[in-house]
Amino acid sequence: MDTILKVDQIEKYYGNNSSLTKAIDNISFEVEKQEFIAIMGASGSGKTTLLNVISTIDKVTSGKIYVGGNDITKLKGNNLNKFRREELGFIFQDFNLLDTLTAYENIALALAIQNIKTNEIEKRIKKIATDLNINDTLDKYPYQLSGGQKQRVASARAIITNPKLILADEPTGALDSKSSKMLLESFLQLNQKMEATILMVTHDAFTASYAKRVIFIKDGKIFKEIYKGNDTRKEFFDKIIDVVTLIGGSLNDAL
Amino acid sequence: MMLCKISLKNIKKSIKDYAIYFFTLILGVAIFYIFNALDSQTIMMNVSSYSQKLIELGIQMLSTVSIFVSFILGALIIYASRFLMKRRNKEFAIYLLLGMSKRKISMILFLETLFIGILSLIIGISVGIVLSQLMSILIANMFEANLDKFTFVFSYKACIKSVIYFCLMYAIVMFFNTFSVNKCKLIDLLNATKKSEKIKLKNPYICIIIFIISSVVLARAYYLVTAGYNQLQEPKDILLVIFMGIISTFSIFYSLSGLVLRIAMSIKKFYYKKLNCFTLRQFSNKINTTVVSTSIICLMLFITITLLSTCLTMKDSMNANLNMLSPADIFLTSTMNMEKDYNTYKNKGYNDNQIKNSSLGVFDTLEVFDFNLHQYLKEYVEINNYRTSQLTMNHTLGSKLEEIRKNFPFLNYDTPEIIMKISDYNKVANLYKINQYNLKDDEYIIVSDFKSMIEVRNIA
Ligand SMILES: Nc1ncnc2c1ncn2[C@@H]1O[C@H](COP(=O)(O)OP(=O)(O)OP(=O)(O)O)[C@@H](O)[C@H]1O
Ligand SMILES: [Mg+2]
Repeated sequence: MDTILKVDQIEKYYGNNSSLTKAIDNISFEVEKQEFIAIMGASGSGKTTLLNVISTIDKVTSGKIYVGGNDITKLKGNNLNKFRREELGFIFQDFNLLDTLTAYENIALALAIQNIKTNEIEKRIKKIATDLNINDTLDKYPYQLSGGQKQRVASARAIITNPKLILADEPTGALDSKSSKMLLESFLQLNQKMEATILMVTHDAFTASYAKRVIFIKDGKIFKEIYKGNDTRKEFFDKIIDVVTLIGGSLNDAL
Repeated sequence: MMLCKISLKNIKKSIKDYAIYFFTLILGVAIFYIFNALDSQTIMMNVSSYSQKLIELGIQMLSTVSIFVSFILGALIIYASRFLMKRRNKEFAIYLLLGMSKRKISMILFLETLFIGILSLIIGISVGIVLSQLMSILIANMFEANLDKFTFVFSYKACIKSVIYFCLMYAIVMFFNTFSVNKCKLIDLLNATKKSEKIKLKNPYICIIIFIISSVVLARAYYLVTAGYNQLQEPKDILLVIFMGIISTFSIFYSLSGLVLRIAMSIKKFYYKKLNCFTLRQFSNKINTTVVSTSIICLMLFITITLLSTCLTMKDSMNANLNMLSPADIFLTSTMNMEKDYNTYKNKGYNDNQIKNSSLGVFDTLEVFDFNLHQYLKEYVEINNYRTSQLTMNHTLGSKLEEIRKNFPFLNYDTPEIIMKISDYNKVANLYKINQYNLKDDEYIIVSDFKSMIEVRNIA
């Protein structure tokens, strides 16, 4: 299978010599096309930092990150814009929808930036709205939506451009279990129907059990990886819990 | 298309949030227009040529001050646009992450600033045009002009000047905006929204002290420019008062905002129930913009009042001067004996005929034109003044010349003194009913009326 993402010995340090934080300490892994990966770890273990450097929001201190063969740590100017525009979909923990635009316009924004024609935009939004079950919310403003609805709108914005790589930072962090389930089901659909590759950071073992592989991070290093294989979701969930107990400490408080 | 829509939507929201900022802008533009339009407003008036001079002086002053106003406005615009931009860090972060180029983001900002600018410029000038009509009535009253000729006046010059200055200011703002968009990093934009802005609480005692002191200072400044305006004689005093006004206005609003925030926070119920921390932060942000905008509004009003009262002072003192300096109703002069220095006077613009007739005195000249003085005037005198380059101020100031030169560097010391026979002086003194003098041979007196000239002469 094709490798879509290759993270090669990256490091990210914060601060100066006197108070140096190694947020990422030599992490390497590869992600194949149409994989669904969850990243777990205690608070402060470096999950957000990892996602930020992959999404070009932040820069690595050393190491390389390849997306579809291109080193994205070296991207600049228009190539960087093009990468963000066409190959990347980012879902924030706190949605980051624009309050001044309706749900429809928020989703359309991603396509409008790509200079896609209005009727094409309408067609695509209709389709994705049906998939994510947000047809009724399209004409509403973010403040009129529930957390789950907002997260689904934000997800629609991230995936409507058919990006190679979808990055999600704690997408279920602000949702109740019912909304979480709904969102995760739509992730599964994206993953299977639209062949999206998903990399998702989470605190929550239940959320992680939807993935095909879980990467555990501790103190900026990869601690353990487990694959779902042919397990049922329940069996996979139990395995995840085992590792969480093994790591111990602060991850427990998230359960 | 999309970009336009985004910026228009954002403006719609901003107008609600920053009504006071727009109001300040509009008022500023209006005042700027009024100051510069007075020129053509007063041209229509039928005032004595003397008042005309006075008004011209005032107008010059106003257009100088209007530059000052435009500086204040420029500062406000830059402050406000930076503030508006800070609130939108999240928005720009999203644009960037969705792959919009920084150039396009600058473009959105540009469109917005342009739209806001044009809107406030149009409204401001309209308000200015209306208010300047009122202003000309006021000025007309002040200078006892006759208002028969009053018409609605629109000053192209002032309008164009306002537009140019405004465009200049906005060009600077846009430059700033583009610069800061190019500088910003995605990670900082994202973090800026998460980092809760610290609410700086000011020390309440210091606030109260500042408030009291600046209230007193401001009250004094307002007193000086209104009731006590005739104390303001020198440009130095006026500047001092304006300075007092600026500092105290800002400090009052500064300390007041600190106190209001304190009070809002100390009412615990209010703090926890009605306002959570987030809205309190918004509240404090809003207070800060309101402080700056209100201060600037007050300041502009203050400056306007100051200028009006300065005009009044000027008018009063000029009128006083007028009565003192030329107590007679009519004052005719004619230059005589120009034939001797034909070339000098030719250069000064006299024509040949004037020079040829210049051996005649005022009376004789009037007779040439068949004008009979006796018919119109009750009392009159004719006197002769002489000037010679052999007697200038250099000579009359005598040994004190160097000292005076140091203190009054702007005087022209080569000005020929005006010499008058004592008998002629007494003729005039008789007419004005003031002291007459007797002089022996070899004696002279110096007569002087401008205040500063008297100073100079007394030193000598
Ligand atoms: N801007 C920064 N400056 C300095 N240190 C930082 C910065 N951002 C993160 N860190 C440090 O880097 C480490 C990893 O942070 P990161 O945000 O990646 O953790 P996380 O795994 O996402 O935690 P959480 O689950 O709480 O979100 C932490 O020790 C944090 O203190
Ligand atoms: Mg995090």
